[in-house]
Amino acid sequence: MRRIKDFILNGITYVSSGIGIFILIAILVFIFRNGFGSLSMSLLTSDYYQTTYNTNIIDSTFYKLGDFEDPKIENSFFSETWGISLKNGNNVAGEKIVEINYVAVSSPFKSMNDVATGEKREIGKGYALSKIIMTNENDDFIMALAKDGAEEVVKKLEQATIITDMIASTGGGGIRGSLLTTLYLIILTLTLALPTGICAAIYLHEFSLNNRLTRFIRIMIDMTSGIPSIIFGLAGAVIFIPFMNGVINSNGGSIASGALTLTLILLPIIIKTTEEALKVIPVNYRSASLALGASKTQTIFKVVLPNAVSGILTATLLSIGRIIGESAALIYAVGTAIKDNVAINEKSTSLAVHIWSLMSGENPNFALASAIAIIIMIIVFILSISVKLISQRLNKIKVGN
Amino acid sequence: MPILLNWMDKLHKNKQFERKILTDNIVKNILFVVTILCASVIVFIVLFILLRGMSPFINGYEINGKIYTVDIFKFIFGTTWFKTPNLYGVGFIIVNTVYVVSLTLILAVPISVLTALFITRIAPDKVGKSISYIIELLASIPSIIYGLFGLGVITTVVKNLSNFFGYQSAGGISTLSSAIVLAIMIIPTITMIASTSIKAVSQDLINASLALGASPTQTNFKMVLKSARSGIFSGIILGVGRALGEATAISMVAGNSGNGPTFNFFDTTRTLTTTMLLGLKETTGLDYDIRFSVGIVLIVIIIGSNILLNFFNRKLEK
Amino acid sequence: MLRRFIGLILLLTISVVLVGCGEKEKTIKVYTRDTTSGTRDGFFSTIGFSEAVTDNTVLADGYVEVDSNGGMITAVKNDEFAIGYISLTSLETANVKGLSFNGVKPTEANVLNGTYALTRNFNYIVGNDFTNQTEAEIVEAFLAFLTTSDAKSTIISEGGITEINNEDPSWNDIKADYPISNKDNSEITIKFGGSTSVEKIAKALSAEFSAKCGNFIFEHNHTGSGDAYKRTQGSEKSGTNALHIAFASRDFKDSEEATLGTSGKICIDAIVAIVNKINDLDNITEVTMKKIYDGTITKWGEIE
Repeated sequence: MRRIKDFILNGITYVSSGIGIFILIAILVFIFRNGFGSLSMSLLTSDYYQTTYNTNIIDSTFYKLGDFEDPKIENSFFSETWGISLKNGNNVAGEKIVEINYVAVSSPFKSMNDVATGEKREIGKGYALSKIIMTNENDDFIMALAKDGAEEVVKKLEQATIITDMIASTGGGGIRGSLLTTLYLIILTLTLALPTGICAAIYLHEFSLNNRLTRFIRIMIDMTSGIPSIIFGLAGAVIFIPFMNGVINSNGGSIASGALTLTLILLPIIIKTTEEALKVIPVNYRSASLALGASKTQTIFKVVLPNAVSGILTATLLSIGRIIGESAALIYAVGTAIKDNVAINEKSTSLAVHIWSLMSGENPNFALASAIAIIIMIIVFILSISVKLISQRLNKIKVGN
Repeated sequence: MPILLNWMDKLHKNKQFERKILTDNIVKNILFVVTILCASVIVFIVLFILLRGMSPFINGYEINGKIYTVDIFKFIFGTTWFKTPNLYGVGFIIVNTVYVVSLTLILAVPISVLTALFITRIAPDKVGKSISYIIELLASIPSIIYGLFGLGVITTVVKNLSNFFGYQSAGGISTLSSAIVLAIMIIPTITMIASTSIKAVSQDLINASLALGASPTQTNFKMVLKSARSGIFSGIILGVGRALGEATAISMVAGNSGNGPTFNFFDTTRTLTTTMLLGLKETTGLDYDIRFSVGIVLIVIIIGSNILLNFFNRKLEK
Repeated sequence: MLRRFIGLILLLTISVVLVGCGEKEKTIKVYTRDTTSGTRDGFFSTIGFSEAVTDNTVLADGYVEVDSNGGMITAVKNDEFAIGYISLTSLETANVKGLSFNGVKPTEANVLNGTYALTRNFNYIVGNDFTNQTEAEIVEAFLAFLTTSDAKSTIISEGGITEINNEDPSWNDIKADYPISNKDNSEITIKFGGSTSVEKIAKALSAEFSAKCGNFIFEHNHTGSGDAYKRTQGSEKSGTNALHIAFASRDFKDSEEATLGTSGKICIDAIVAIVNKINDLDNITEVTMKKIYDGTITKWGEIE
């Protein structure tokens, strides 16, 4: 009887632990299944918004009927007049587009007039056509739109002799801007938070007396670490946005105001981790340095801090992890507008907020959101493993002493 | 002459010594100022949010040509989030929040405590270590990814569950989905702290229990858990803090019900944090400032629950 | 003590679940956009339920508020018993079922011939006093551009509903009247804003017109229809948020009277009521729609 009861009790602990493993696997399977298809190098390097070109072919000498040979690509439609092949597709926002998938060598599309620059531009493979305005021999107006579908567009192209106005776009759907923003946020925040946090940790561990003030300071810092990030976001919105608007002439939220907000979030973490590292350093290192005639300042900066480097590194890695994962605070303190051209005094999104924008926007895009999630997970796991390795080394030193 | 030299040498050393003391003092003072700044962060945060959050109750806001001021009493006890004459009410949202977090705890605490027990006392050393590492990894996953997972997987599961019970849910966006997502997020927190406190139970006590004829399992469940209860409870307190303050993930699965409170598992809900996050565009005016008022309520509830739970914990220790 | 307390909570929650499981009838789940949405404004104004434009309390019990067009589509796609409304533009790719309104199918042709009634206008408004002459000239040229087949075709390709007549000039025809388009304007910034629903069309128009008018820099800051008048001719017209050209997804109110010749319609947008694919309802009348949204009709079976 007792054995059965014990067996059942043990069993439920196995099941409980299994739940944790199951959840991790489920999350990984979910994001990889949804996002792996969208993952590529060009995702990281290309812009989120498409580049659009306004072009035309007013010179009708290009017009030669039936000059081009159909390459016979599956599911696509070929225009013999213009030497291009079109197919239906979808863009990042999930909208229907008509995409060029073949351009004949001597097709007029190889050298269109770019309205903006006045120079020649090739509208080639991979470009999406959103509208074409044309005229035929009798000067009648013909309009072809992406939503008509590739077949219809080709039909209309066949009738035309002149393309008076064409909008074509390329690229888009990348996360280069958000990647850069995340990097900016990490650099800015760390340059602000690390020195401040380390200084506070040094004071608390090396200088402070164990009096009521110190205890009070510790309580305050502990309480700061218990504040949820959305509250930091509110604070960032009400303190740092106006402050930065005054200092660097930004308009509303900016990367700078976001970095300041993140600094507040990170301070308790950095102080705590650094202090842990300072605690591990044996007292006799300090006594030896002081006995040799070094001042306390010299001891701290030349003996104590170099020995705490691995602890500070841990603090840095933890902070980077937190910055990458932070979303609620940044939604308030920066904003949710995805940008390609990133500047410190302007709004843009970190990777996590990019996912938020994608999911709360007009057309939720699970595939792209999951692809970004994969990138975030990889970074976070690498950081977490590094922290583990460093702390193991730290433990060895501790045991060695 | 040698005396003079000796004296000068002493003077020189003294000067050096004084300079050392001086730099030490300067450095100490600079560090002190920085530390005070770090400690006062919380004061500034609370102060500024308080200033902004009180504004809807004091100042008038123009909406469609009329001037409105929010009634603070109706705000705190309101059962409708937004209506034109009384404007905002947050009472039912407080109830929803507490309800969702209680549900979360019912789901998360048993799993976390049992996992902690498994890691520390039941599993072989290597297995325990690898599971505790998996738990640490779970703790490091950003909340936005939990939200994505919740929206993609958990809502579907909940929707099927509600269909099974014959109840229509709004595509699985519900109280239960919110509680499950929050539970997944706080399990690592509670597990990590619980396992630390279980590890700290003295081996003598365990040996004594075993010597008295209790089986290892009985010892684990009766003696070890009882001795570690205070530590486990601290873990729960931290978990409650995290669950109350979590915003991004829960607002992806909670829905946006306009009135309440909602007690049905399969109905949409609205918590304090989702209220602050949802519908936030580049708004200005009352719709923006009222979010700071909700923020004040959130701070009060987090501090309140912390004090209350710590009070319980102290009782538990006795 | 603690054990008893936990037991109580468990009992309570279980009983709540059981109570909730009693309803087996197919209740209509009503979805709505948030109160700042222009789509919501257009929808409720047209079905004769204008109290609901800014007030949630008049809506049926258990309504769900979503804060974007996409959120609405996802919600209705996932809920068999849902009813909601979206912009006609997104219907084709949405994988939900669009309902006929008063017996008229939601198609562009029906919108243009005036039979489909669930529509709203997209309007523009521009600033009425510019200190910078170049900016003023670009804005003037932009207004002329809006009447061309170039602009209209772009509006159509971005989902707006408008007609291109044979008389409509192309930009090449009228370009000569606007010499500013031949200058290099790459130092000039023109600010666009207003409704978020018109953002997509506005961005396509500004990008196209910039290429045709000396590559001026265009900035978009869309914050809602309410800011369109305010930031061009109203209280914020000289502040940091001031705009050159703004759009509204509704008609301007009496309190938003624009200077003559500075505002007008750019196109029509149709709103379409949507239900889940498996729903067998095809048509809905104005009266039924109002009854569903105000809670008079609560079950799918009650709709004739």
